[in-house]
Amino acid sequence: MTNFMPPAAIFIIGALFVPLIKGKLKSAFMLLLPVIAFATLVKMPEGNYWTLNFLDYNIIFGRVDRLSMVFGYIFTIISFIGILFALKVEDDLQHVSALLYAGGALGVTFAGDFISLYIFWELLAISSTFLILARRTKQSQAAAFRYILVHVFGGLCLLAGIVIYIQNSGTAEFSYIGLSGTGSYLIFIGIALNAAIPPLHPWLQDAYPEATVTGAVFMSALTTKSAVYLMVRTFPGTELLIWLGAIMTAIPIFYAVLENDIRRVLSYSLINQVGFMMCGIGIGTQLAINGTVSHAFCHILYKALLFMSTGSVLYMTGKIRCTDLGGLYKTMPLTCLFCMIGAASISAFPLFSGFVSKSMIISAAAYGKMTIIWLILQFASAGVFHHAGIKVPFFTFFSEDSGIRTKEPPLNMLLAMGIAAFFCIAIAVFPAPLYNILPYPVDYVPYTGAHVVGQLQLLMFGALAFCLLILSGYYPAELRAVNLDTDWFYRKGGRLFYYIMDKILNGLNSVSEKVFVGGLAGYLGRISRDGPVRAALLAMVPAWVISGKAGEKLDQKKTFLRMAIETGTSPVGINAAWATIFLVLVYLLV
Amino acid sequence: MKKELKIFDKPKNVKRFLGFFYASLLVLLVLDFFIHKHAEFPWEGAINFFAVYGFLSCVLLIFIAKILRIFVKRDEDYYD
Amino acid sequence: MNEEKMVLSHEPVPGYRTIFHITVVVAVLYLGAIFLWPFI
Repeated sequence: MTNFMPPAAIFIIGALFVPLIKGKLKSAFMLLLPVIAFATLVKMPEGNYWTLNFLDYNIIFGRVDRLSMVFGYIFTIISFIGILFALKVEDDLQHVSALLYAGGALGVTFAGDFISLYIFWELLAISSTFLILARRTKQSQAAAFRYILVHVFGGLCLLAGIVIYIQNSGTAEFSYIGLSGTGSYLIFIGIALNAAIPPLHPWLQDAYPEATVTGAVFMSALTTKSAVYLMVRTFPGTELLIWLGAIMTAIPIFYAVLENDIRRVLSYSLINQVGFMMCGIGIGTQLAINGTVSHAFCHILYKALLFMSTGSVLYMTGKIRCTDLGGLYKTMPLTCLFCMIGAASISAFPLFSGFVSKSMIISAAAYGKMTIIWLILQFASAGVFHHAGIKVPFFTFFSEDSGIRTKEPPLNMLLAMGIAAFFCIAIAVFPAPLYNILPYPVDYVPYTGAHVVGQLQLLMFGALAFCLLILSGYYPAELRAVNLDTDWFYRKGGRLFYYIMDKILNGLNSVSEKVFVGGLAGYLGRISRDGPVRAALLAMVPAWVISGKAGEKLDQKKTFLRMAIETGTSPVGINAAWATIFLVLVYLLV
Repeated sequence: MKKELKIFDKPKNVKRFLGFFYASLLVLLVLDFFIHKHAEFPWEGAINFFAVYGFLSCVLLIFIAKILRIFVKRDEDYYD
Repeated sequence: MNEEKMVLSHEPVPGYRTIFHITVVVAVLYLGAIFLWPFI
């Protein structure tokens, strides 16, 4: 049964061969990897396998059930699309790290134990950092540095939680954990950081816009969604997540309205969308979990599509700010069309993928009679259309003509976008195949009259608000500025912290230098330098006195001994005597 | 040089687009009278609830964002 | 190529402020009525 490789290994081992191959063969090889992984997935029966024993713990590389399979499918599909999009990039660093990154995400998905999970978790963080570094600008280096520091912190929380968990349960295997005890809270924080739950979210909007054009596509798909998977696995039905999720849908959209960098707008809307998923996990009913998983599936596709189409604009024009762009539909009509399909999908228009998945989560909140949550989620649904659905395409492709004349991106990029766009529409028109692979049986009908009309009203009148706000001059101006977020605490606050620590610690330092280096350490130093000599004299002098040596002869002996010990050249006899004394002492004391 | 699309350069086309947009809003408002609803919350069943809620949500979003900007806006090189 | 813009502001078109204000007032009243209906 287990004569094939784990899908994660296909990517990770494949990545190592990428630098060795050149030209067309390399393109074909990279595209083949997700295809092989997908074929492997299809043949994988449910169960636990690829296990090995490590320090008395079971390491499981293949925990295969309905939940992990959905994420396995979508991670390989998006890897194919991402690789196709990045095919023309002549930078092995990006290719290798993207493949390792995809391998890490698949590893996390199928890990049945905490030890292998942790290794893949760290692989995710490290490999994705290189996708930011590969932009090779000063900002991206700084952003990558902050990104890895934050993720190292999250990884440490997770590790500490894992250690406590293993200590308590005696096994490294895990499934449902639930919030109880220090260990579970630490694991929760570790996952929450990767899922970008506020206030642990700012790494996302800080780093993603600084990543490379193609790297951002992988990043938008893998890190947060593997955290969503893990959250579904370990903390379903945690009430705290309902509220965190609702807050997470609402807060980022205000920032998205103000933000000028298009990819940063998309990063904020990514946090908003993951908020819906967190809310669904918190509700924890079968409908809500199905909604969460299917929303993750659809979200990966349309968010990647949005990052690809805006990335194409950045790739072709070198510009990505609202203030610099506009009127690009004239020269990039296809990219514009793909962007609008992504925008319609994230806004959950009927016949676009968000509609068949997000509505399950909102319905689950309604069935649970969660009034305030439901109102927040509907508010956020209207809001996401406002910024990701209208703002992104409007200011990029329409609005005032910026005078930029460019052309469509290369064919491979268009194809990648085309495939993602196809999925976005196909899933919405025929939701049955997606519903069939969800963890629980689905009896949800998205296309009811009330639902379609209600959703269309919510969105179209949101659009009316946009229209009237622009025309009446109330819409906030797009401007080049920094908007403070919780990353302030480690970017500016970090400096303040550094300053305070600098003053306190340097003060302590100078005091302790006086005390320890001048006083105590000097004393200890003298003791330790003279110690052997004094001890040796103490031991030998009585012996010499007894054997009748006195006066000049004794002084001569003493000087000789002192020199011998200080230069480490004492005669064998003295060493032997020392050893004897030592042994006698040990014998007496013990 | 390839031919450029210029449909929205003509004010007539923009007007036509907006006219189509406003018409579709009207259709949605009317359509809601004929829809069978099974609401979980009392207000969900009210005629045209979603239209009003969607509109006001976006207005509220923009005005809160404008207020937020007063507090969070900094110069572009703030972090440098 | 154009110089980089620092601000892209949206100037009000005459007449639309009034339309906007009326729409908001109507919407707020109607939404208030919907929410308060069960209590009246």
